[in-house]
Amino acid sequence: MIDLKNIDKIYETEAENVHALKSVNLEIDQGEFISIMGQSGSGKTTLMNILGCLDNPTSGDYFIQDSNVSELNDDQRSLLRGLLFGFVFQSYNLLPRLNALEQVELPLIYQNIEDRRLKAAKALDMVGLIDRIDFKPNQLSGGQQQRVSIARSLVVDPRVVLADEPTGALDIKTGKEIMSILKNLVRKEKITVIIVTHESEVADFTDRTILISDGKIIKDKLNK
Amino acid sequence: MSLKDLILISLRAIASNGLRSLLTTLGIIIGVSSVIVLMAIGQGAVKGVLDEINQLGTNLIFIEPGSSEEGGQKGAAGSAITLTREDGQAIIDSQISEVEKVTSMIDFGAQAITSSNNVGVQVVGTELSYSEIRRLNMREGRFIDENDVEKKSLNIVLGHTISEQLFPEDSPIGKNVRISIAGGRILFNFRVIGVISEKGASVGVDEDNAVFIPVSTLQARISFIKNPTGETNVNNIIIQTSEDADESRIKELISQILMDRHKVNSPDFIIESQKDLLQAFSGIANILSLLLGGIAGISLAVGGIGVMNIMLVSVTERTREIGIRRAVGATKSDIIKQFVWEALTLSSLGGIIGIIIGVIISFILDGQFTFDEFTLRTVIQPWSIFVAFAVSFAIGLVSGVYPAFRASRLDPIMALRNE
Ligand SMILES: Nc1ncnc2c1ncn2[C@@H]1O[C@H](COP(=O)(O)OP(=O)(O)OP(=O)(O)O)[C@@H](O)[C@H]1O
Ligand SMILES: [Mg+2]
Repeated sequence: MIDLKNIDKIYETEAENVHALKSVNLEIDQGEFISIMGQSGSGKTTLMNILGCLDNPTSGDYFIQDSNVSELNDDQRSLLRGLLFGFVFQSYNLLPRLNALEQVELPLIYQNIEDRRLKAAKALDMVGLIDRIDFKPNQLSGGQQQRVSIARSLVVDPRVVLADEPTGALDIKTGKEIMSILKNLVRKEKITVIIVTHESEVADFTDRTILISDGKIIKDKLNK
Repeated sequence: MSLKDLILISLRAIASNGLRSLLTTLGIIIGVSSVIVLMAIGQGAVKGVLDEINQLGTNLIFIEPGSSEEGGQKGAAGSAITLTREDGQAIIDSQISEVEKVTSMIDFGAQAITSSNNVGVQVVGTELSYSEIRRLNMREGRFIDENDVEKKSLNIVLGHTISEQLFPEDSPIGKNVRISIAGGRILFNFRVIGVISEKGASVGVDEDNAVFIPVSTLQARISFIKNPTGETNVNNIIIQTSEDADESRIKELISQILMDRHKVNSPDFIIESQKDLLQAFSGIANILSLLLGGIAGISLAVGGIGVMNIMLVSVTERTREIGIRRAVGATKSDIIKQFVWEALTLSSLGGIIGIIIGVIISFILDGQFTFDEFTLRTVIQPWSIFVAFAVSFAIGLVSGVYPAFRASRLDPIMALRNE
């Protein structure tokens, strides 16, 4: 479903050029549950951004369902992003003024989808927050906020959920709750979930772990 | 993104920063309301002038003595009295079909004296057609008539103010008034036959402060109003034409008659139709009103800069929001729409509030203040409301586009990383 071929990413800055990804090759199938690990600065976030069409590779080809993303323009990539991907961030990235339901409705606004409230409520129900529908972010705990952001990533019925350190800001217990929610998604909805993490306990939840070092994939193994 | 979502998003953003939004729109509100008020004052002045000119009567042509250019030297207007009562008679005699009435008048300053009072007045030597052309209404009694003129009677008609000053207590009809000319060297005893209703401020003769006597009486008794050829000098000839008369043709005909009589090649008098006056005055007043509007427009522009400033700040503040929206599928144009719409909403709200306030203030100001003879009036033209709104809308558009464009150019990754 996802196929990265010889992806390079070079950030050009005034001081120096940072070679963040070096000929990365990666194939991911529908319904996989994958963790990406690696030291800080190894290129994990860079890889996630490229996977989620938030950023373009400097060179190489990126195929989603056999279409070449590198050939799409900005608007087409926005559309693809909205339709196929859901994002979960370490810092939740909720809009401060909206309540939980409205947060989850947000992606639907840009897809011109009907029945937004119903869909959003369903997504919140999936993450067990149906009783917090009109709570604003500052009225929710960190774990609850992360669940709202997971609901937001789910509401468009994405094929892939990309989560960059989703448990990074949470305690171990809450982190595990989040992971089991994500695991459930993979099992029940056949959604591909890719998470970045530093913790091996978190990685153990997933089926496959990819290790990155200095912009290169150095290990790609299946967990038991 | 649907229009409804766009409206909701922008209203929400505006409401969530209530005070700041209010202060921002205040610039627009003040700008728009001052445009409305100043334009209303300007248009009020236009209307005032037009009303005064129309109050003179309708379809009038005015002739005044002009400077004579004989000998290459141009005197000041009215410096040499070149217009005579006989000129007026010549116009009547020419029998131009559209000319309905002709009146000529002499006026000069004098003292009006009763046993107990003494006031300065403008003495007008005139005839019945004057009151018809000028549409004078009588408070009491009657105006000078043909009989008075024929008999050179010593009857006098008082202007409203003069009547109040000379006879504050009782009716002046039948009372005696002495007119003292040239510092008392010439004295006449007149009998009051009528009082004119209050006219208020008007262009030309201030009839409230004038007294009217038969022109023939003046001609017979006062020598200094005659010129060397024995004709009677007048200050004004007023001609009333029929409703659909071709004024410029009549002006030409009359000019020719007068130039022939005066034996000059270029007019030594000024001839103007009421329409000329209307055009000249309303032209000036319209320029004035646009000027006022323009000055207020500057404050509107300043208000627009305020909106742009706040939109730029807002884009910077909401970098992360922009990143999030982009991550969940917003295109660049979705982001542009959002910020342009927000600026439009801000400035249009300001525009609407400004219009309401401006209209209210204009209504309150109307007729409230009087400086000397001039009363401040306001007239709100529908188009000025429309223009004010259109301008504030345009300002929103202009001041929203650049910030919105900047917002759309933000790299989603960078925007998300922004703390
Ligand atoms: N926009 C950028 N401009 C320049 N260099 C960048 C940019 N983004 C990332 N980098 C560099 O690219 C490399 C990879 O960064 P990346 O954010 O992918 O690391 P990471 O693995 O996610 O690290 P962490 O675990 O700390 O989040 C780093 O050396 C970083 O400094
Ligand atoms: Mg990272």
